[in-house]
Amino acid sequence: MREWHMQYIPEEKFDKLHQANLVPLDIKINVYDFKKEIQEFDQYFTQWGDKFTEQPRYGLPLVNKNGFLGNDPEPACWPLDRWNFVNLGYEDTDEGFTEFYKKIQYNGFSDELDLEIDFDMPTDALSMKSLEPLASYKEYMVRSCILKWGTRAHFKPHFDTWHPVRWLRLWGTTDPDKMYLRFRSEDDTDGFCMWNETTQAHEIYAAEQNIEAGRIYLMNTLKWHDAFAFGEDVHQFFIALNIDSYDHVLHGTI
Amino acid sequence: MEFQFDVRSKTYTDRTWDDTVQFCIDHDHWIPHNYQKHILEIASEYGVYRKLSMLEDGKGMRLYCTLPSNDMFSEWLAKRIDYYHEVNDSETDEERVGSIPYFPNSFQKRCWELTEFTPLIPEDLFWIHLHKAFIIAKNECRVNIHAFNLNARMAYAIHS
Repeated sequence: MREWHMQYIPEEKFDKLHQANLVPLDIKINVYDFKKEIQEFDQYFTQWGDKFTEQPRYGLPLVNKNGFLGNDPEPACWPLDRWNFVNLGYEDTDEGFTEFYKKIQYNGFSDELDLEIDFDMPTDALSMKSLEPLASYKEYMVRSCILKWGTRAHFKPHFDTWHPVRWLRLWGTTDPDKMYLRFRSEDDTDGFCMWNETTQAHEIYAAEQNIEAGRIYLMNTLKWHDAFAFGEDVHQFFIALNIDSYDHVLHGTI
Repeated sequence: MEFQFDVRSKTYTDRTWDDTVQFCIDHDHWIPHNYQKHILEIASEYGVYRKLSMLEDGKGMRLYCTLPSNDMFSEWLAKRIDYYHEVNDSETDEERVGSIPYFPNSFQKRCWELTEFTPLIPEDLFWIHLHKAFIIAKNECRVNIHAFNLNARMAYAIHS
């Protein structure tokens, strides 16, 4: 069913919602309860994607394509751009990936890509009691996961969406003191020096400050960002919403 | 891990700069593109943060750096030491004896004079983790003690 896939959020409405890189929402997960309960699902965490598998990056689907836990492979727990890149048969080189990304930026794909909104079946993991604060958002949830990272796990600089935007990203972590979430910055004097393989440029990224453990934030993934963990068992709530959620999210910002 | 150090231009000794951006640009052309790309990739794998500010006399800048843990500093430096040996080059050839790098000078630009390297954690802990880097690196590295501030030098004398 792709009838509503052509809906999108106009740029001015997107900007109205994303007044900062991270906008706190009125959702807070109890970290203690979550950490205890998530152990029941430990066996269903799988390595994130097929690259950089030396890194301790694992995912557990909350919403995937069939509602099952234990799919192998589990596309909900791959970087979706990588999943599409592999499945569209591009040559697996840096140049091939750059070519693929350019085509994305210029909307060179029509119905060929798996999008966040194509994943709409909740798994049993979404019924965890500790995730009840998400209850009013569940009807809008599309491709969503719990991430579990160890020391030096990271996502390289990337962006996840582009105009016309067809979904929204919510994000949170249990351990803000053991990870950085960073956005590309204009301030050359202060930040983390990064090499961006896609832009082939030296860029500066600034870490978000004052992230509250368990708080769920609306995240602006139009912007270049990356993430980096420097401790063990760092869980992240990696949630996508379809655009029918727009008013609900707008009223849920605090 | 937390430390800072000062760098001044060796090339333009009489010149002053208004901002760090121009200071960096005026010295960037000494750095091979692939070398810079690789050391940035290493930095990004170990959470290296840095903040730049101009020195009061405008002839250089201060770099304040942090890494998330002391062990990650050791691992980061070990990677840098091994990369130095892999390419058999660095950003400076001063202080070199044969192909052995010296910390900290060999890991900054050759056109910069590096002074006042100041650990901002207890000095003894700093030296332990510096030497841990030397141990876990596959290749050799030595210390240029003259680049350090007085307290760090005194701690080094006691520690060694």
